[in-house]
Amino acid sequence: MNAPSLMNDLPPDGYARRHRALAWGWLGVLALLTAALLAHVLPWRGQIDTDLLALLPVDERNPHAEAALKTLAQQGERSLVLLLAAPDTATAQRAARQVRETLREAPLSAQPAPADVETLLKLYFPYRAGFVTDQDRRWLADTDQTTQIQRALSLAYQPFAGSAVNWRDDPFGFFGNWLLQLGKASPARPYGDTLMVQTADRHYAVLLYQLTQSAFSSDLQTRLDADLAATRNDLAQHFPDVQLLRAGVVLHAAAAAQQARFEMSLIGSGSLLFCVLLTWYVFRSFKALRLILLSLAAGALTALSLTWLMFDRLHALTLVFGASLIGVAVDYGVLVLAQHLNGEKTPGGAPERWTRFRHLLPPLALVLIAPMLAYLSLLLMPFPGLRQMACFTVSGIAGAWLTIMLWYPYLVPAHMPGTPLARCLMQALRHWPRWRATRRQWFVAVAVATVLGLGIAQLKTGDDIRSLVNSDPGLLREHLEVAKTLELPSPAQLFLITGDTPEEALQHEEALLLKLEPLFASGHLTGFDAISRWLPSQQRQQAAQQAQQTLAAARAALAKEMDLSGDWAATPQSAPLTADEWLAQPATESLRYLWLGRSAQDGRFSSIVLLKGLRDADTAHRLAAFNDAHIQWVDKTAEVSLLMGRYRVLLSSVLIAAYVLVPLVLLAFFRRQTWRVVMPSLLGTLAIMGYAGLPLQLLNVLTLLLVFGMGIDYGLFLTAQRGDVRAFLAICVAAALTLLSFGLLALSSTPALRTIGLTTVLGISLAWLTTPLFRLSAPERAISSSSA
Amino acid sequence: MKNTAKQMFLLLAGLILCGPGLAATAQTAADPALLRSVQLRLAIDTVIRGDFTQTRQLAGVKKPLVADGSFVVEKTRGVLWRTLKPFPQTMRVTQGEILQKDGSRVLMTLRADQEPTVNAISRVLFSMFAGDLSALAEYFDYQGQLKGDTGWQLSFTPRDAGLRTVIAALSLEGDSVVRQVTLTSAAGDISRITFNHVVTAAVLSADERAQFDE
Repeated sequence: MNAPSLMNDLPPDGYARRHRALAWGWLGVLALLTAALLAHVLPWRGQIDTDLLALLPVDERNPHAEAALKTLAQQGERSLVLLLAAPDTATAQRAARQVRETLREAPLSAQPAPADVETLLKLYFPYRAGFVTDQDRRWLADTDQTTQIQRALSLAYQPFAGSAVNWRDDPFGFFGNWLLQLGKASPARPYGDTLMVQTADRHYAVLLYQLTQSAFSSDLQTRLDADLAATRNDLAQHFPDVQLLRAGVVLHAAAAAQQARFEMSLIGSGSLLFCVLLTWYVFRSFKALRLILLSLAAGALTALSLTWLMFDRLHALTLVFGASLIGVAVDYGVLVLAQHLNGEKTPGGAPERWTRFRHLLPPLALVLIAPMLAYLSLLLMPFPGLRQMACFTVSGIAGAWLTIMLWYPYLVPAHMPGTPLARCLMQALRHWPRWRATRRQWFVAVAVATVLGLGIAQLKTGDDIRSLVNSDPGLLREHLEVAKTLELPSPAQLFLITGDTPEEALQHEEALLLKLEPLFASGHLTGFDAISRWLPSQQRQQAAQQAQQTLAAARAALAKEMDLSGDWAATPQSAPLTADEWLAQPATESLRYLWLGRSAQDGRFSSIVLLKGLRDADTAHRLAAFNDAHIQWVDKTAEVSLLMGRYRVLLSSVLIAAYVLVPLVLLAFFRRQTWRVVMPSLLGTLAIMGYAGLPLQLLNVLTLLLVFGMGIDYGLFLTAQRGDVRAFLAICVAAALTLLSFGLLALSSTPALRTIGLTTVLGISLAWLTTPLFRLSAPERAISSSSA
Repeated sequence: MKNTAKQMFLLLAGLILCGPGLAATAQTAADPALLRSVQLRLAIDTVIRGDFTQTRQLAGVKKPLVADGSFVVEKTRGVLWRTLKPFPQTMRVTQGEILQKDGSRVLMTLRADQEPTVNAISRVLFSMFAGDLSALAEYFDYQGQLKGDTGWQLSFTPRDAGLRTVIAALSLEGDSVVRQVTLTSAAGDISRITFNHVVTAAVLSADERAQFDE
């Protein structure tokens, strides 16, 4: 750093001393941040966070629901499901064997072995009197003794009553039927060593794996990617008629990380290259380039280190969005440099520089306010992902700005001759139309306003959280087919059931399932996962035993017919199976995710019910109506979308308030109507969005706030410099850089980033084009000297 | 992917119904030559029909349960199992459905779209009666012998642990047709079925066809 050497030619007044102290201080801060960054980078190994949950807001009002969703997410995160679709079972099984072999070295382990049958039987058998299906309960309620005996005899004589339970222990088959209904939990069945699902025309082998590390580990992603590619090739070669379908968080995480890395380097290097080229062609000075790059480096350093310190992990979206920041952070350097572009050799060196610096200080300070305010409002959003992006941006901008403000007096080049490009741009302002309120201009203005109005009228709103999600369409299709084939429930929508005791929670769950019956019958829902399927409440078990009291006469008759003892004739009684006992069994471990247990906060017990086949929003609305003191419908997707909508409305009012307030404030400073500059660009952006069918959502509104801030900056700078062509040049360069970096953002595959990119490009272009339109009519003074 | 629940019941379902323990098709534990020889002794025709006498010895029940009736197996449709004594009852096993009737009243239906194991069960039952040994060999290990010029005997044990919790053993005896089936459930109930007057034919009778179709 050659700042110290330049410090000799400072004016010896107190202000300069203070400034020098601050400049040194800033150097110290940057050194500290570098150290902090290194401490993070060294053990980092390129891991980028692509976890979508990290982006979503936490519902602090409902800790039970959050705990439930978190448990589900953790349970699902490490799971990888492979389906092999084949024309027949044997082929599917052979392919499955081959895939298992290929993946032997992969960072995967088979999912924990399902509960073994004997253990389960042993668990349920002593309590079997309490396990009767609803259908059999109804049958018990309206049959006579003859029918009852007939049913038992028919089972006794049936040669193929394949059951692990003897006729003697289950003469009416109630227990067998109850066990059978457990099978409704999934369509997959074991065939030898393989799980299979059969549909009308396909035979699927199901391979369930668990990752050995987190789905977001880049090491694991790389290895798994290679292993799955090998598997696919292998299958294509040996089993051309077998199709591989994959589903798992890790696949999306890997795809998103890869995409983010690509986009980050594309946007980052594109912006940087363009920035260097433009700076060079406009200023033609190594020192100018040095100042710009130094401010960028300081900005990036501040952004990276502070974000890392505050959030501990970096999200892919932050990095991609952050890469586009180059275009904004570079503005301050450009604004400063343009002021020195006069071709004059600075007389007397330092004192002249200080004069200029003091002259530039107010507009440069004002210029920082607008984007900072826009991003700080982002920091207030309850979306952790957006907060991280805001933190990154705010610290990046602040870092770049501070560098310029503190070091510029020492680093700015003493002599910068005008370049052809600079002259050309400055000339352009002369010929730029200016608003003079002529009749013809009014006519054009009214026509433009009409077109804009029509466009804005077509503006739609959309608050779907899915816009933040960058999903590979191919992976999504595979995932959907896997979910459909295996009848997987939705992981983001569920019923949360609470009760003061486990028994109460189970009873509430059973009551809910009863209420859902019509929806299952009408096909609005196709199934459910709930703990009460596996563990009926004690009340229900007792009721089942009670219902079997009507069998006394039938049992006595059967005992006689079969030559059995009187003991057998007595209806069997047993204490019900309790939740504690059930949960203590290792065999039930794989089902425990449905049971949340006792809450640390209020000591209540809760469980979840997951639904299958839920597709339309209508049904979801009907489900929300089941809410009561013990039952709560949790719909994360809808909730987040709702939240995004609420914040969009809130931010829209902030935007409108800014429209009104900022001009009022500026009016006090400038008196001239600078504020009119921004209005057309904003309305224009909204209109174009309306015509293009881009929905107005939280992120556009935020972006508009940013565009508003930058538009104000342009107008302000131009006005503060009294229509100085050099200010215009600065605006042109700044806008071009912003346009390019955000334009590259519009290429992102994440819909949200694309939206931000497009909105910024539209808004900035319009602001850039309209700003000179409303410039002051002051003499364009610098033009003659700059052409020297 | 929250399908841990699924895995659990899978095995259960395998246990409940005499589920398919479709194991490796590789013939590891048996002698394929024996199977081929037996298969050669079996008559091949579309329809097999005959009478049966079935004796069940239930675990913990002293009295043997004896039933008589007739059966029809048709290659493409399935099995019709009609008990006449001690009370009339019909079981129809087709691809996709198992139906049990008491006269005209339906006692039980099990459909493949509700319970996927139905397809495999019907396949095992069909193979058992039709003497389609290769299908059985997919599910079971076997051993046995040829008897005299035309006879044979085969004993099957399930390959799959899930199936073993339902079926302990299955044995078949016969000549050009299956003459006797003995099925021992894991819980200890034993069914012995003897076939009499077994004939083969090319087509179903009109009455039989009606029963399959209804």
